[in-house]
Amino acid sequence: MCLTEQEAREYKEYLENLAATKSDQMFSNGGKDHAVVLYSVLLNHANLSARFFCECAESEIWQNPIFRTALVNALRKADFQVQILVRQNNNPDFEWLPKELNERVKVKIITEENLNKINNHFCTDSCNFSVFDHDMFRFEYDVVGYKAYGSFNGPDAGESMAKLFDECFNAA
Amino acid sequence: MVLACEVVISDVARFATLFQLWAGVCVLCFYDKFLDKLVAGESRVKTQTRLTDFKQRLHGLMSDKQHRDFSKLIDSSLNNYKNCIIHLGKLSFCFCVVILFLSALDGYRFACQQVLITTIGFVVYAAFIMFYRNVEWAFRMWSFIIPAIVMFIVFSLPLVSDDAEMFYEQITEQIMAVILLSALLCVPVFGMIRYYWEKIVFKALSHKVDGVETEFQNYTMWKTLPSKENFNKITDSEIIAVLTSGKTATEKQDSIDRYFYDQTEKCFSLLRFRHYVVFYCRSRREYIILHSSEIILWLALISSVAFYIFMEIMCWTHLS
Repeated sequence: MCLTEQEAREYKEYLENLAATKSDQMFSNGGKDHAVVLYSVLLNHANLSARFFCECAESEIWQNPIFRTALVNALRKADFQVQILVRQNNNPDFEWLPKELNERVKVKIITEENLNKINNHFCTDSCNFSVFDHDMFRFEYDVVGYKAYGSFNGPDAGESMAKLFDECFNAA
Repeated sequence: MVLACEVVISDVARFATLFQLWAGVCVLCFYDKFLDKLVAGESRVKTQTRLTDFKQRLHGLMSDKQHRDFSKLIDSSLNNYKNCIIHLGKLSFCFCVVILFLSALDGYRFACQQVLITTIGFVVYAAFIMFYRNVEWAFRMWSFIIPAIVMFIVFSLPLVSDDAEMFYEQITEQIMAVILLSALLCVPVFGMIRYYWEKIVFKALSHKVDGVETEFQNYTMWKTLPSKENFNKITDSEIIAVLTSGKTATEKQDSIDRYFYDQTEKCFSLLRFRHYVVFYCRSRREYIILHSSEIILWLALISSVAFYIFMEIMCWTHLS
């Protein structure tokens, strides 16, 4: 779903409003452009950590300059850590990151067993998800169409996703 | 020696003060920004904000085209009423000016065919603009001036034509004056009908939107944290039926997406204000939406029964 500049601005304002008011409303997020806007807002409001479970960390979203800028800005926050759990053994290239921030990004490949564990947990065939701090998340149920659900204040779901991620990440 | 002159005042001219008063009210329609606050109303602004948020919240389930169509629908339907009032108000002002001007002319015959047809045409035009909501062209400058000029020309015809005949003998100047006043009142009457009609629609719409949002929240909570407790919060029978069916996970998700999209489409179809009637049922405590196909069926059924009863009565009367 392509966004015009005005639509992107309006969508970002909508998300910023949800984030600023710490709304617990779930919302739908679909398409690359909308996903990039959402990620930029999530990274902007996260203070401690970001966990990404995805295919290879090299999709069009990861190539997007807005996403990259938001990730770099987040990494510049004190003690901000990024953990990435990928399905494919592609060795994602993070040369676009400043060297001093590289060590804050850890990438691991998920095992087959833990992949099934995640799919069974969410009752799905395939999914991606990302958790920011412990209460903000984006859960992508359609990895091809980039369709997802998200929230800026979902501590229960956020904690559960973070715990599941940590188990799989530590076992990778 | 003073000559006594007998002046015949048109009966329409006796109502001149009322026409002047109404013209004074209608001149406000030339100040669009003033009417923005007066006619748009807090409830419309709230509804617009609510629907925009709803559209943003569920946008992931829509295509680009649908998203833009909904944006256009929200803007046009919620601003359309204000545009209708402004357009018809300006036209009413011209109508009053023409009437006042012509009523000052000695010998002008209001009770003639041209004036009657123009007046009826004005009422039909006002109804068309007020209730046929897709008429976007009506709100541009040329669309206001052209009907005003046409009206002025037709009203002026009795001045230049010798054939300005009486339509019926019963149409006297007094009746014509009442008809002209009614034509002016049609604008506020139609406006009020539409205002209260839309008020009830907005309430039904809010109710429907609340329902869809609640089910969306319940489902997405379960999807992101699939616990039994969250599953029990889902109350919609269609969603539960999909989730407990034997479909694959992808098929289930597609069905759920489709379901929410259809529900959103139904909500926004109310904003088109066509082909349905909404009323509040006190006994069931809910808004009932009857679509045109159902209305037509009910009307056909009632007409058939009424016709049958009528024929029975006629036969009985004839035979007895």
